[in-house]
Amino acid sequence: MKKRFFLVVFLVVSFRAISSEIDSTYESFVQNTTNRSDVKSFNNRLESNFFKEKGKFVFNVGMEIMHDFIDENDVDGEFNLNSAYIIHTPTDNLEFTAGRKIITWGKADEFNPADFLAPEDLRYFIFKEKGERVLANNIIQAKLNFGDSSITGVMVPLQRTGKLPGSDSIWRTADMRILETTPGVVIHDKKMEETPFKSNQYAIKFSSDFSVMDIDLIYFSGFHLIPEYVKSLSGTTVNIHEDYRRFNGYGLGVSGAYKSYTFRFEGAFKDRISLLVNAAATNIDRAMFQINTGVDWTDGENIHVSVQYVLSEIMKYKEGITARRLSDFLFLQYKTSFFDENIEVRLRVGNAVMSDDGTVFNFEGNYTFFENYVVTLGAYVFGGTNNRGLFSQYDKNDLVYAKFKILF
Amino acid sequence: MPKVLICLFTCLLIFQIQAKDVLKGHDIATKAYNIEDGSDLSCKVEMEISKGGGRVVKHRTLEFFRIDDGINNRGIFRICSPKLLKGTTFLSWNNAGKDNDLWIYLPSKKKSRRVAGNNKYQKFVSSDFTYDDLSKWSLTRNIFKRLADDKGMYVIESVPKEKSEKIARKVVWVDKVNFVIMKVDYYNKSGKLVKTLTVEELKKINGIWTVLKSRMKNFKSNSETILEVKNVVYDSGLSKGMFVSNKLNKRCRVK
Repeated sequence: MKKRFFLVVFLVVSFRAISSEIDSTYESFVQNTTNRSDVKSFNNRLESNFFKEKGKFVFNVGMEIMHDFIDENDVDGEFNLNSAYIIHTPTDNLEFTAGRKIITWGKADEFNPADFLAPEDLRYFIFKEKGERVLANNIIQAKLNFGDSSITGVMVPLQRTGKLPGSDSIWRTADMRILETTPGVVIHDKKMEETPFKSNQYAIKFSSDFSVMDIDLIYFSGFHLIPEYVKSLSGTTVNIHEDYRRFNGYGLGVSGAYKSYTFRFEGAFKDRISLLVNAAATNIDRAMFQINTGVDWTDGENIHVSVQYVLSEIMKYKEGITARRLSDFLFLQYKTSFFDENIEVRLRVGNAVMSDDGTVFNFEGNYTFFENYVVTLGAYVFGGTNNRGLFSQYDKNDLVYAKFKILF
Repeated sequence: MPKVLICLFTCLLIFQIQAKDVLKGHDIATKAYNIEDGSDLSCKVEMEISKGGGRVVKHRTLEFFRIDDGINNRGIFRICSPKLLKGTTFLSWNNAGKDNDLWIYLPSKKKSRRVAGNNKYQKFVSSDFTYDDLSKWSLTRNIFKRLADDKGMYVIESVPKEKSEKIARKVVWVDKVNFVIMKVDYYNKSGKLVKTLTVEELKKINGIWTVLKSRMKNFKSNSETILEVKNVVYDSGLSKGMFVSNKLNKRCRVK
């Protein structure tokens, strides 16, 4: 821990000497799970971003150090190089980027099926907005603008995958727990192929802004951001191994506005996926779709209401047999602010409409003071009887949390 | 002959004065809309927001870019400070005769989002200005009526055609010489004066009359915002390609 701390201090001082701009954030985060007294955490994170602009080049390095003061397993903390890239803009309409950079695509909020390139840190997914969860990927990108449109081509020579909750995490999904504890099932972990340029991924996006609406069309050829589970039989033992297999993805994003309303649609079709493939020996591939559609309304002052509906085809593992079914949920959000926007209150309710995935309720209040300090208090309540439902599986994880954030 | 010429000049002068006098509200609004303001503009904007007794409670630094093709214009506001809002960027397409298109880039979300047009009535970065106050007025969406001149300035009333607009009526003072808007009173639906904009510093830069300092006083919240414009550069050849939603994630560059 000490070594990493000094490494960060050394890097901060070094970059300070050469960098024209540094933005830093310190965030501490306390949570207490109300139904399980043993689950508490006090997570601390320091993030710094360094920028340097020289002529037609922009350089960025971003890194973070995290440590939990309560979790006994967190001895060394965690150091991440969040970004390290260079942007070259030879003309107003052409831009090249190389390095580790966050790319988020898609028109919808929070759940973006067409965002094929952005791995996410899902270890604390419940506390983090999509923009905080998303991780940088290793990319080479070219963007060409013409008129109000652009074409972006991306190659990923070294894929990064999402971070999943550990085996001792309360946010581990019920499916994963069941797989891990089913007698006769052996799970073989597999890391994504990490040899540069051996398993390249490619994506191309066409974007256009029109009056009233804007559109994204996306094509992707590459690998899933979280592992698939592929099944095979060895005598009476069911072997399940994690795998990353190439698929083609097609995405469409549309957003438009009329008066007080904003409409968003995002859909993706993946031609080869199965969270668990069907036949034990043959591993039959399936296609899959996901859509997210939403409407936001604002009173033009300080009230914002949004409704979001997500429909996704998923595979479920049950007693050695997989089944395909539809999972969906409806999300309602109400957000308002008081006292010159220094206090913001947000209420969110998520509920499965067709499926029995349960309910989630979230309240969050933010207080901003002295411009750059934010205190957050919030609570999550999960409900439902299905112990494998999207929300109901966390029925015992109701919690309260507090965050403190300083920007400097 | 000289008497004839004098008579002719006098007639012309009287005719011109009469011609000016017959300017209607819409004519004045059109002249104010069409004043020379360059094909593009970039500048730095400082905002000081104060409460009650004039105590400054918030300070904002922004950069602003505008491009104008004579009919439509596009603008970008990017927040440079405070750190909490840094990088937040607003893009607007002000389309003549149509609703505006608005996008916002939020660093916390790491992407641009289209937002509803009526967000332009929201407080802009917690100040007493709204985005609408910082945009040019629409000639087709308002009805203009000339009122009695005041302090040597034209005074016109602007009433939005759509009843849903938050501000029900504006009274606008326009300089008779350069057609720059010098003062605006904003009235709500119940006819109450809610805020007043006054221009405090005006300067000709590259032959273009430029408002360098203005003050918005909000009577409802008893607060005021002083907006100062610095480092003004006209006609630097900004690219239209800069004013699209997927190019908003840039850093502040106006020094």
